[in-house]
Amino acid sequence: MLSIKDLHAEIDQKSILKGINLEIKPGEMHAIMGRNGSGKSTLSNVITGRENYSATKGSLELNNESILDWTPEKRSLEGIFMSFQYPVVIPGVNNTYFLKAALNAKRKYFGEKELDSAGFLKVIKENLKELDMDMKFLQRPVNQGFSGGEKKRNEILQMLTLEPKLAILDETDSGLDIDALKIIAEGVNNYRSPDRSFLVITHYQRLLKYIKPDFIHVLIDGKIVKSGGKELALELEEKGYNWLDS
Amino acid sequence: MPNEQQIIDSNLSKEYEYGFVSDIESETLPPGLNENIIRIISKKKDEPQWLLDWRLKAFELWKKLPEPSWANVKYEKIDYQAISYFSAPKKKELASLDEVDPELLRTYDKLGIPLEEQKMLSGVAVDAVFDSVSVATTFKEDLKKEGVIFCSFSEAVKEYPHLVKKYLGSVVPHSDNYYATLNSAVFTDGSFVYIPKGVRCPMELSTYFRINEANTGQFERTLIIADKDSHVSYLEGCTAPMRDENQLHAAVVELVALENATIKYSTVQNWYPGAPDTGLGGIYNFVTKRGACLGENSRISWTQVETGSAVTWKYPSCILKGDNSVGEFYSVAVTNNFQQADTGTKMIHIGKNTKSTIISKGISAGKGQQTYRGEVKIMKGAENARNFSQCDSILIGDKCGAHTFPYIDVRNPSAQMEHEATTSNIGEDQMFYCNQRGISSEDAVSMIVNGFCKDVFKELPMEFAVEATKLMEVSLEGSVG
Amino acid sequence: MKSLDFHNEFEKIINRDYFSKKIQPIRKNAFDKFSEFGLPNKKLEDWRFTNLNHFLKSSYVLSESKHSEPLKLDLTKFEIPNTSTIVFINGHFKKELSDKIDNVRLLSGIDYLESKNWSLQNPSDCPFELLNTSFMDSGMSIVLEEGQNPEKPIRFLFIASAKEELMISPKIHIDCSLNSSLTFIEHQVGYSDNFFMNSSINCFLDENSSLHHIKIQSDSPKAVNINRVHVKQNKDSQYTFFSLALDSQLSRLDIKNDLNGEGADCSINGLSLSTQNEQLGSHILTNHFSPNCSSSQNFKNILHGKSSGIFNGKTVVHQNAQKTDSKQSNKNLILSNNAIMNSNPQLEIYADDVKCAHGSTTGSLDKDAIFYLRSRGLSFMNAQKLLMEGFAVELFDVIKNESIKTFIIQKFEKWLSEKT
Repeated sequence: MLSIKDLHAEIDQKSILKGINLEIKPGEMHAIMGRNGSGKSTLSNVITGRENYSATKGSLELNNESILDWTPEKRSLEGIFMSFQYPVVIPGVNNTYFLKAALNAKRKYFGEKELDSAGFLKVIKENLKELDMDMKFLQRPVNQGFSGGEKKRNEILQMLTLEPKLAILDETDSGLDIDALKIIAEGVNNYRSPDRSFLVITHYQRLLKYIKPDFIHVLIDGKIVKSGGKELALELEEKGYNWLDS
Repeated sequence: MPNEQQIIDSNLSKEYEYGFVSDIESETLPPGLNENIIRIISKKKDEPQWLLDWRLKAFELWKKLPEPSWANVKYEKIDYQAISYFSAPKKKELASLDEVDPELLRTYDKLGIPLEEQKMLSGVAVDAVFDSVSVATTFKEDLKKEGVIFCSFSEAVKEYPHLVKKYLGSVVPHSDNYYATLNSAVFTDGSFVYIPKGVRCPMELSTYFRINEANTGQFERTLIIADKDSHVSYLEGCTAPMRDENQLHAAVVELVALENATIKYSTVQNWYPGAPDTGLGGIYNFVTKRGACLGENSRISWTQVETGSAVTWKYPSCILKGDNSVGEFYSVAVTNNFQQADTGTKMIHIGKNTKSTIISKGISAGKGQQTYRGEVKIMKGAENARNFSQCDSILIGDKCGAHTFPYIDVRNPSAQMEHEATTSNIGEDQMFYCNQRGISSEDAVSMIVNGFCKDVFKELPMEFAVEATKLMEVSLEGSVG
Repeated sequence: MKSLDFHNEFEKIINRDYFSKKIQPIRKNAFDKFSEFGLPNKKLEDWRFTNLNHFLKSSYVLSESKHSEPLKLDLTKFEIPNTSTIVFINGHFKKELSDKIDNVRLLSGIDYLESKNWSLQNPSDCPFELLNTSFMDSGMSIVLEEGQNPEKPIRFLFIASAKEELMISPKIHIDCSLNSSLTFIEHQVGYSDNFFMNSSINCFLDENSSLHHIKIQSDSPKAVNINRVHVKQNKDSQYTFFSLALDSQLSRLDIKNDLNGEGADCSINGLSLSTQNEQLGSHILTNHFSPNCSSSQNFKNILHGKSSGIFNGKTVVHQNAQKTDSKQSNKNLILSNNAIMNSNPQLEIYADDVKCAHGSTTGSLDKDAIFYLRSRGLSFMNAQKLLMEGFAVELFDVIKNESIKTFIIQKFEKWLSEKT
């Protein structure tokens, strides 16, 4: 599904990623772990095409097609979703409207009929239930006045609704209490299927108690220095990152 | 040797010299402004002497007034002698939509305006299928049952002279300001509304219902009186850009609310903003709008969506004289390309426990320049007056400007007044968030801008609100690269 | 004093022989311009709210050398510990009353002008600035060398004390070179009944320099104070201003800040306290000419009696001043039926990537809060006092020097206890 080869990237002429290799196959869940400043968020921003994050070397392919020249919305429409570390507030725009616009943009892109309000509500209601969220939630402006937990839940709600092929969860566990974390992990786990992939980016091991990645990669100074199975997470918890420093 | 045109010109002006009044057959007066032109306008409208005297008084004053220059706008000086002050109500009719500027038609389509209405707006002869006259008639009958008067200003002068005489100029005096004074001298027509005691007007009074009535022209005058315990909502304008040959618009709107009465006045203004690349040819919209809350517990609410015109100069205001009266101003103004707007409001608190709210949202894009100019005045006797003002601006692009000039004058210690303003751009992170969810940049801008304007749009009558949203999209087209 | 009445006084000053002849053309040029423009009137947007009546009715004369002796003087009243003080009596520098300041270049007005080749640093067509240039007769200039960082704050103490209605026109320049920093106190005290203080302070902050400017104005109730501060800032420089204004019949402070270099920052703050029929006005203009600069304006008025207050703040963000961060705040307490407040916080913005916000509130003390405090046993007076303290106190935080801060807080407390 996603293939990253020798990817170098920089922000404001400052080199952050220094040769990333990562292969994510359908149905797989990968986790990237690393300290603050190791380049985790840069990687997710490069994959999603954020402005000012430029790839200087290497390749980034989705289903064997290079996506480096794609606009952020094209990447989204083609199935890449990112749950933001800091979800953005859009004053005055209500959640339903926003999500409907996003869903319909996708349907339009694939030549499907756009959903009307009733059709949309049907979709959204189930997802709300799954995440134990109230309908009132939909009437509020996007992320405005949301608590940290609500924002993250809202991100997962969007994920369930937009049905991406590759979901990037960028520090989704930060700012969550244990109950919210469980609910979100359950939402993610239920969403797993043989044709959907995940890239989980996290600083801590906490989230990995509830969702089980197939592979774990440790990112240090813009490079993956170690890869392994879930047991690597436990090792990291025990020893910290320092033993990996070269 | 003088050429033929010069001879004709000199003869024409000679005729005026001799007070030639009655025998003008032409439907459009030649350009120029003098006492005779005013006499002719008055005569043509068969006006009573008092009204002519009022016009002449205004004209005498206007000649002495300097043209105001304090507004934060720049435009070519207007040659008032080059304007024709009485145009034929009929515009040149086009044979079919093929003759209409395709750009205009494209906009109509985007706004979802029905074909027949498109013809009417662009000045194409309307066929029999579109019978708005009968629609209008039905509405008129409903109104009549309730005793509501809704007619043209000229008709009101003839039919209800006592009301016109009592209230004309009572809120915006003939001496108010340069453009209002000019309007007082030369106004041609407009609307008149009277809501009797205790009546809640059964429908939104709208210019939509009078689209087939006479063209009211560039010097429109509107007077709305809401008697005790009455309620009226009036919609002015139309989201579709009207074809218009006049460059200067200097309208006056006066609202009078008596005890317990409520007037809600909503405007959507979308006149020609001028050529997108030069700004040439756009409308100058210099309007005086003011409402007086004369009675206790009365309420006047202005809502405006201003997306058109090359230059806008407009301050819908409220004089809060009655105790417990309420004034409100909700505004969205867009300036794109070369548009300039200097707009805002005045809230004059005179009575006790008076309240006012100002919500102003300005959007500047392209080379647009926009100024919010507002005054809140709490007079000495205005015990417990309250004001809340919120003026926010969004800038799209780096060649536009947004300016905020509030004037706050408090003369009573029990007053509480708060003013807040912010200026920001559309955040890169907001755009990226929308893009990441598959929403295109253009849709994202319109979504974010509509969200920004929400507090104002929710004050608009339902059908207007939907159109206003679309209108914003059209107005901001091409503002993101 | 009308425009014409200044002619007599001008004849006097131009004929004074103890000034350098080089200065005469500068005076003449300014006075010619002043005579042409005249005094400002309410038709000018910038002077719309300023009432000059008291000024127009007075007749001021130049301060002569005989005025260098005060009528009465008790300097201990104005002592601020740990500051170096330069004393001016009616505009005249009093060496014997002043501290000796080593290592800092202090120049007389003439020496400063000479160092600048007899050209004005901030020529302006403001009528009062023209008057100041025509009559400049006092003040001193401070020039900090590169990296200089005087330990003690420098204070200019202006004392007005004379029988006549004097006109005093200090012109002061403060030049801060690269990496230098200074705390400067401008302290005005009035003993005279009526006088006209028309000062012009010009600050230049070169790269990475910082200037803390404190102004304390406590005048006789009939004084007229028209003061201008013009600040030009280069890259990464920092200017902080705090003003405490009390008394005086008419007081108008104009501060103009030009943020010319990237990363420059200014913070302009003021507290005006009025009790009778004072008119205290603050007119602040901040010009953002460069990217990444920040500015804030924060002014508060507490108004009693028949006094009036004006806040006319304007922030202009010019086209290439991207990433500007600016704040404006004006909060006012009106505590009498006859007091008037005019508040005009204005923003003019020509750049898109900016964060600008302004706010203004005017009102009386919160009745619920007073009730709450009384229900906890405070007297009505004390409740009021506490709320006024709470209203003003955040402003004092910008004063970093503890002894100055203490002095100012004491002045405020004294004013409060006299008022409540």
